[in-house]
Amino acid sequence: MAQFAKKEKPQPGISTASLPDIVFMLLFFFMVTTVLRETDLLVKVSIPQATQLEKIENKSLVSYIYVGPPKDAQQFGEEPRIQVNDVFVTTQDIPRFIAQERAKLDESQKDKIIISMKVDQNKKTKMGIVIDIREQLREVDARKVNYASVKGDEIAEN
Amino acid sequence: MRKKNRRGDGQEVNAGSMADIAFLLLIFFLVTTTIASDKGLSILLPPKREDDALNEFKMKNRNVYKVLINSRNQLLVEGDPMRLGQLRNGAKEFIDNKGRDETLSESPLEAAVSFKTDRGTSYAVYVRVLDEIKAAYNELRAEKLGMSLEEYLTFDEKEALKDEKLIRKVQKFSQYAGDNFSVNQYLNFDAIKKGQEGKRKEVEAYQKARASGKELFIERYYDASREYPLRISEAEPTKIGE
Repeated sequence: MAQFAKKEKPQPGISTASLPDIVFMLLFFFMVTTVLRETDLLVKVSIPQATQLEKIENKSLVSYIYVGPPKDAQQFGEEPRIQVNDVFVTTQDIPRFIAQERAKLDESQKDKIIISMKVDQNKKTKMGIVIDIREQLREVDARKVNYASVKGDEIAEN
Repeated sequence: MRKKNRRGDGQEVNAGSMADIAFLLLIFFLVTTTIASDKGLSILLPPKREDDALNEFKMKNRNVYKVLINSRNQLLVEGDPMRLGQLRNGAKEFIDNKGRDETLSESPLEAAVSFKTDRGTSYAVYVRVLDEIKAAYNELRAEKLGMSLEEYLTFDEKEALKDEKLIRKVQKFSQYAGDNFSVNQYLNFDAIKKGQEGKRKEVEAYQKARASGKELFIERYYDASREYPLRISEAEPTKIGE
């Protein structure tokens, strides 16, 4: 600080005093607009990589199902669990969840519901749990499924 | 912010660094917050299992490309072990065989991929395999359109759907057919299938509308997806001993 005090002020140029204000405004804009996450994740989800990604255009149709090992391993163990809307559920609860989500949609869009499965790519997450969810989804005819994934590298041949 | 420095001789607190601090915060937020993007591999699950009706739908053995993964994440394709890197070309060859090889599919329209996993298969491997199968289809479509896979994947369909020329063609189609058709119906119009159903008037109207004006890329894009329809059946989970 002492160094600053010694410095002599040069000739008054353009005042940059308002610059912080502008930048703060931008900062607040970003802080407010970016939603960190809609739901509090109780499970660890690291999304797998893929190359042939498709974007979901109509986000209002999407409902999310999270699958992964619980974050709180001491309380819930390490086996992968299913989470919807902030709570753990079992596969039997899936039809009820879909019915709830459907109820939120317009009448004409009820059959267009898309289920986005955010499933952990950890070795411990096996297909068994995914297959169970899938069977339940088929039961209630919510057949549009999207396996959430991020852009990854191509697999080298052989 | 502009408090006077009491110790100094009327000097202001240097506010110049404030901008730096704010920038730092700004950049931090820009970097850390990922704008939630809903991207992934889409798939349509088979309909609910009705005990008899649907199971009677049988396909010829040669038209089914059987992909299996066991609980140790090993890949078995058409009865032979295969490495993941070979799957894409294997599937492409199978789908695009067009009756040449006896052991491969009859035509892309008939071909289907049956993809079966064990309960113990890891999800990451499942996604990788599904990705490769989709890549095979996308590559075939891209080749059909004479473009690279990257170009095919980055094609902005939403933007092309707003094209005025396309909308005009759809209007013409509706006019000729004497019925109201949406853009989607126009693009997904399957002339061969409709012809078999005996809707000659619609087919003629479609062909007339299609021939009016320059051919649009999005029309060819939909043609390509129609020529290589994505048919991935996620087979029923096997029970023990089945």
